[in-house]
Amino acid sequence: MLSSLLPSEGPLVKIRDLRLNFNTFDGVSKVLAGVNLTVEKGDVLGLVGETGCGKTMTALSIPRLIPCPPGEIVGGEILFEGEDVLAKSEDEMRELRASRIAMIFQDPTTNLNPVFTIEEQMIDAILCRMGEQSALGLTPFSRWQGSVREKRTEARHKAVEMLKRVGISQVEDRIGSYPHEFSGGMRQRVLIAMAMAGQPHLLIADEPTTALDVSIQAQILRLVKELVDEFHLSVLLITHNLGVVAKICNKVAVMYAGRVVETGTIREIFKAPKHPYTVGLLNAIPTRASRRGELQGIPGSIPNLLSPPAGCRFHPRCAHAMPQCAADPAPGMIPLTRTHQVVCHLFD
Amino acid sequence: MDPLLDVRHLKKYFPIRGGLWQRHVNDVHAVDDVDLAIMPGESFGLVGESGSGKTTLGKTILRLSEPTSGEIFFEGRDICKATHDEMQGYRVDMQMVFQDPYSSLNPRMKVKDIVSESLLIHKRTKGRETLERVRELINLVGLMDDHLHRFPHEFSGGQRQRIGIARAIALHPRLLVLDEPTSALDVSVQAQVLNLLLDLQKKLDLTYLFISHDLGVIRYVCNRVGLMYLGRIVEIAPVEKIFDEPKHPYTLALLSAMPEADPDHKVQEIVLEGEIGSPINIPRGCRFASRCPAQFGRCHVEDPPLVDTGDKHMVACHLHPAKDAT
Repeated sequence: MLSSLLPSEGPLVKIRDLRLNFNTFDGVSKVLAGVNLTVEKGDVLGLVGETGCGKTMTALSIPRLIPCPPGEIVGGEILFEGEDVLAKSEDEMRELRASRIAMIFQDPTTNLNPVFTIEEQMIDAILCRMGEQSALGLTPFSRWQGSVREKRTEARHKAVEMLKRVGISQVEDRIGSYPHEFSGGMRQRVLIAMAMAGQPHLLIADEPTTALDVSIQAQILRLVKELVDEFHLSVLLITHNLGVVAKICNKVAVMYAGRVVETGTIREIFKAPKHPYTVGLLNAIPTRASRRGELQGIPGSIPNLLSPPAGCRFHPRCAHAMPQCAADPAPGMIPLTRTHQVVCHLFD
Repeated sequence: MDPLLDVRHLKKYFPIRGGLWQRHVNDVHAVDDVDLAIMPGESFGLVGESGSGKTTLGKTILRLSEPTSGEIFFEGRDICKATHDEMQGYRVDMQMVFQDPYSSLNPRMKVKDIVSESLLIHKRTKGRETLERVRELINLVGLMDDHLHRFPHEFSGGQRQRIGIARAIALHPRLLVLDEPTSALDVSVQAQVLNLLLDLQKKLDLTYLFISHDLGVIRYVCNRVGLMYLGRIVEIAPVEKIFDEPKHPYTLALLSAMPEADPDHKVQEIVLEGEIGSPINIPRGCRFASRCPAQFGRCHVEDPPLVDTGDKHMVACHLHPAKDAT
């Protein structure tokens, strides 16, 4: 308990050589094959990569939300504020998820319960985060008990305050609405309010704006940025949109087929990308400078993780592939500067 | 030069029924008085947020959904008046590529059947010739001969979209309506598909109506761009004009909100408050007025028409009067 109050030294999250398998009927799918990732305090880290590269799985393993089975963590370690997450008991994890790690998801529609009002869902979330499970009113008639009612009223005040903070207008009129009465952008704000209610240290945002229009996306990104400054929050932002990363992140980690292939500050990644995959990804985005017909895709498509290529998993699509790229073991993390690291034989 | 497609005062309303007798109580004004002309060989981009009516406009132009009123001239002939049989003839010249390559291909048909279906319906080829043509098409979109006998689930998203494109170009159409053809794809694959589309346009002399919400993609593919807001086109201009000197406040806001993959790209960001209004009860005056940072009294009273402000730049805003009026 004390460790969470004192400013502890070291990074907020440190993932070392994390390996995750999914046991499927077709065989073992090696979803994460040695992920190394560090989130420092105050970082807004963008985790980018294409569909199926393991971004979401990496993020879900921090609060240990991977369904096991079929998932199985076969190696590596995850340290959250210096504590080993993988060694914790389920009760300790519950406490950790309630207080220090919060998460928002891609689709705000499926993450709110359609049969409860925003008010009820907000209050429950806040009570959970305050560690007041007894006040949830799960036992019959307990909602009419004085102590429970008091706590719920208190939580309601907090809910109203949080909803106001995330930019929902006329909260008192709208708090009793059901999720379907809110638009996509508003629902995402509600989820952000729920996530922020416990004053978490880490916010994991899994594609928070993918389902939204650009003008709404801009509003939500601005809100996240404000919250980062206000609550000294660290954010792990998962996205496939490099534009979003350039807008609000200060660091980037690029993933490909279950590995982090390059990490660095935003400037290092966008201005001097080193890994051929990062270069390819940046060249594939139509920008102000790209001329008609000059956009380059990356040939081929992502590998099947049931039988991934040996060595560097990118080598079959890589223009600079050398013989040693196809050979095991895979290349290790090569530090280029204090912040910039790349996983590629070109920089051995 | 005459336009290939000329749309005049096109409206598409979806009725809302309610009450005891399911009476017609109101309308969803999905497309509300749109004028549009597309020249042969052009790529016309249609941009807007979800709910602005882009897809409905695309479908209505092909008469996949019947227009409520208005005229659509394809090569000078009004296709709104065409009978069902006549429409069959026009459909050869206008085809569509859909957004979701996962749901737009029949999972129980092989690739060769998907691509050849339209050839057989329109009796373009017979027997052996059909397979030959399908093979040619499949190669044209960058797939292999041995892909012909596979089912859609065996392909990745990018490959499926290529199948969808092969199907659409099978009959040598003049006009292709592309409804968000790359929004379900990853960026590296998106680039491949966009390049394929540019390539095909050159080879087959196609005209595109390219619907997208991604301004970056639009800038890369299109010559001319139209911006839609709540069923109306608010600005039409050549692509450089839209990106370099946008005039309508909505265009300005949308451009500033567009995330560029460049940390040095700093713009004065105009974050629009609120959300796109309801297409059911359209407010009086300009539809954008409630969110517009530059609105003034007149905007809430009078609906601005789409007028030419010079240099083929059409804007529907009271701040930008028609050129001859000034």
